[in-house]
Amino acid sequence: MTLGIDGIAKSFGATPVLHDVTLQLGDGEFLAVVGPSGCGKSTLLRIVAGLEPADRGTVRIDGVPVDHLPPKARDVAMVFQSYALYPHMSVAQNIALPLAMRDLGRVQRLPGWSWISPRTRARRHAIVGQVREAAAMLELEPLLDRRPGQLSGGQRQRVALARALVRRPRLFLLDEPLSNLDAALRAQTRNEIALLQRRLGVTTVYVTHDQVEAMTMASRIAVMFAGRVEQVGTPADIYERPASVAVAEFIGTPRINLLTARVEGDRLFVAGRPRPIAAAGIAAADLLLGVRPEALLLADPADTRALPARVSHVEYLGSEGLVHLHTDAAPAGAVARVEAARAAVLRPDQAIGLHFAPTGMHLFGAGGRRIAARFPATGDGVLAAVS
Amino acid sequence: MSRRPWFEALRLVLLGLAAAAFLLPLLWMLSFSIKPADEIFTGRLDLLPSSLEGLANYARAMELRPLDRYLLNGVIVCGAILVFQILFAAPCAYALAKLRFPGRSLAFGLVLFALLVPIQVTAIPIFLMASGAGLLDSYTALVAPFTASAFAVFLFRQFYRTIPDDLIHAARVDGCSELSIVWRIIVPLTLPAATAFAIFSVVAHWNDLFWPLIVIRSAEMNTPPLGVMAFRSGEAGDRYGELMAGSVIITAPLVLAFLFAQRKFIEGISLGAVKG
Repeated sequence: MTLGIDGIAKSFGATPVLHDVTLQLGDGEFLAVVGPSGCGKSTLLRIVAGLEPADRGTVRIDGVPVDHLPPKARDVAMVFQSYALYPHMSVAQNIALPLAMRDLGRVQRLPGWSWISPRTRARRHAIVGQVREAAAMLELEPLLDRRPGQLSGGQRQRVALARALVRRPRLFLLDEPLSNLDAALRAQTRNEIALLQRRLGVTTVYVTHDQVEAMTMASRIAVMFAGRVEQVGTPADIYERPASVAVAEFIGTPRINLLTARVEGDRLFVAGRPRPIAAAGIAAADLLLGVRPEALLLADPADTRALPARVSHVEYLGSEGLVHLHTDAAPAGAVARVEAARAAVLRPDQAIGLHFAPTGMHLFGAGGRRIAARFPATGDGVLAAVS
Repeated sequence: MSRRPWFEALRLVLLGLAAAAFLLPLLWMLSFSIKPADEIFTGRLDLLPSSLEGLANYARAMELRPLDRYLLNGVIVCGAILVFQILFAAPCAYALAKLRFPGRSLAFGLVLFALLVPIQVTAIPIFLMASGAGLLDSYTALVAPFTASAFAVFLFRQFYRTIPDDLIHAARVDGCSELSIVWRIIVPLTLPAATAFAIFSVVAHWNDLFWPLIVIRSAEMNTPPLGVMAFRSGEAGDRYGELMAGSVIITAPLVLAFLFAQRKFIEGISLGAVKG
């Protein structure tokens, strides 16, 4: 099952929400749509589900346009942020509803009809079997007779998943399904959903504002800002070659460090200190150099080629340390990810030098777009120890 | 809130007085219904009769008028009115509360306007229509004018608006048509609203005298209040004992139904609709 989203645009009144959004999903692919709140990602999901009409553009499932079809004819399943379980029905009835609506006719759904019609009885029986199977997959069997109000958040979330996957839909849509769970449960459920999706092989669109969820679960990520898809790629693509400052800032924790920089010929200047750069014919003053926290290397403050900085705060996390720094080149401050042992000996207000590892550097020009550039190694040694 | 005993006592007394003001006529009715005719006009205020022969009032009331028939008429008419009211009002209220279509505010405005129009205003035109269609003196004439209730639409719409949109979206994705959403999701979820409305509707139409008086001619079509009124007719004389016994008989089902519905009503659905 493939999904094609082609040139979708949508406005609510005078407010444009989506501009010309185009995405392609291959069979069985898990695409995460990630972006800050209000970027239009949930609206996009609703348009794909058929809950909201698009102003322009086409949604294709298996190459066939489905724009005119209501949700039930699209054979998609959706998990909502609020779970949207039917409070007056038991867990079993909640999971069975999509099957009953699909497999039973209007008359067959009438209460008591299975007493009269053996055929309806057989279908009801089959539905019960499928419900059990879905419940088993999500370890919900002991809860089948409970009402949603009697379940914990994590359990409700699993019921919502079971209800979505019980009829083996062509397309699985998830709208921030984990945002109402606590941190520990979220990490666990993240893995479960990813495993389940791979096992079932259902093409999936997963909307989230949490870049960690997107990075860990998806085979590809679409990053959205203000109704536009800024970049689409594998998690590694997005992290290693962000298309813009916005993407670079949104993906990765701690956030990427942004330093003011300028390029003259084959040299890049940061705070007046040059280093070699191979970039095709750019000479500009207003550039931003993005450096991932792990690419910010601590050096001896006496090293004249290193960027002078001052430690403002050290976070010791056990497995690693985060060093927050003041430096003139980064008005918003900078963060370096270092070994825990290194972090342990640093003190606030300590002067320090900074070098950059070439693999974690990204140059952005006017409008925040990425500038293709290579950063030859300078051979600067990294400080072995800071006294 | 004060916990002082005198305050509690005062509260009980006030509530008791209010309850008595409402219950006393009923009690009087009960008392009259079990008194023989000569004890009713004694001028003394005895609640209980001196003998049990007053109970014969009930038997005579049943004999004088086919009260069972009137009760059945009442059940049929009130039941039919309620069923049709909910049948029409629930989808209409759902559309007004949750669907987006041009003219929705205007439609809702018309519903509000209809709330302001009393039955007395429309009675004559409806009577003429029923007369022209040859429907007078029938169940249709008793039921049809009340099947579309602006009050039900308004009440349900207010309740339906509190249902989260996600629930309706989920139902659509799960394959429900709009009507299945109404009957499978919305109405069961707002059962307290339906129960509250049912109480209003049944009480109003069970006790209604005005409309049945206009459209009913034959005795066997009488609704309970019409039937009781017949006890005061010249032919039977003013037989207060029987009249009160008849009144008790036609009030009892309503009181019982109300007590039952009230319990249901209070039970309600106390489940978190979405996340908790």
